[in-house]
Amino acid sequence: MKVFMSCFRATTRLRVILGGVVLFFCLVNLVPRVVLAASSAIVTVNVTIVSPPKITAVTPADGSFFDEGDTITISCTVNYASSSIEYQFSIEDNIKQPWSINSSYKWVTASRDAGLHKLKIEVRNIAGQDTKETEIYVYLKPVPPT
Amino acid sequence: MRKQRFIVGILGVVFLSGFVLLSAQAAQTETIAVKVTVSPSISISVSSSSISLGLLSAGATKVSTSAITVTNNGTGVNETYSLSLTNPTGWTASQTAAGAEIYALCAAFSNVDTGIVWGMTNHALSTIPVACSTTKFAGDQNGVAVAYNATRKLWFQFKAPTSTVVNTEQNISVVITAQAG
Repeated sequence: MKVFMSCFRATTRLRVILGGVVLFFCLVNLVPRVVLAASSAIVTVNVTIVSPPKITAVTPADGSFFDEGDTITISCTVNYASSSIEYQFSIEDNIKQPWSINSSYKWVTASRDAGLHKLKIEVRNIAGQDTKETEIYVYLKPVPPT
Repeated sequence: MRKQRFIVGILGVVFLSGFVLLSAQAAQTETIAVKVTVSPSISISVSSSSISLGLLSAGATKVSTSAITVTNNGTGVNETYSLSLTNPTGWTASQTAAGAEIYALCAAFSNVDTGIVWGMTNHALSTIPVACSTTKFAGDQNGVAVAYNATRKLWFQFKAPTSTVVNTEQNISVVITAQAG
């Protein structure tokens, strides 16, 4: 009988202890927890990839004729328009307009310019460059008879 | 006689009880429970919403000339950052190497750009958010446990596609996400 009572008391005590532990965990879990939402920011990285420019047409066309005193506008068409392209214009390999963003050059001819001329147009950007040449002829104006 | 003693006893007990009660009232204190709820919040700010790398030729590599300053402007908590990106139309981000219509965008926290040893393994961004660590997206700074009001400088390195048909400006969105920790 004593042994039975002793076991009974021990079991009851254990239950009480376990009950307390369970109650403690329940209470701990009942404590409200603050769940913080994530925050984000966006940064946009801007970049442009450029290809080497390619000249698709030249003005004046190869074999064009002009009279002395004419103003010849030298220009070209590039495969795509971009502010990053620079142009350079030469006559007989003498640079008349060095590298700049100006896409044309005006040549005012005179009598001394009579003859055949080689015009060179160059374009470039950070990716590469292209060159085209064209030949034109400047005639002397006929002198009226006196 | 016994009855008188009993009455005296009762009176004595009542008297002493009153004395004890009076004494207890004199020493009585009240307790006011002051309950405070701390509400920490997560928040970050960036010094600029965009950064321009300008014009590049195919296959080129460029590091941003300036950094974006990222600030923990939340309240009361450290923040750890995660980084990801969104591909622009026509291009795909790689975490190994650039290729045809394939680019790589790397990011690193560093006080100065010279403090970064760029590497695809630790710095390349992807469309999946990746948490910062002491090596991931790290230069001479990192995005781990950034204290309240602390700042980090974020640099970018871009590896252009080796070839592309896209010659217009591309916009790559980099998302910086802050979480407690």
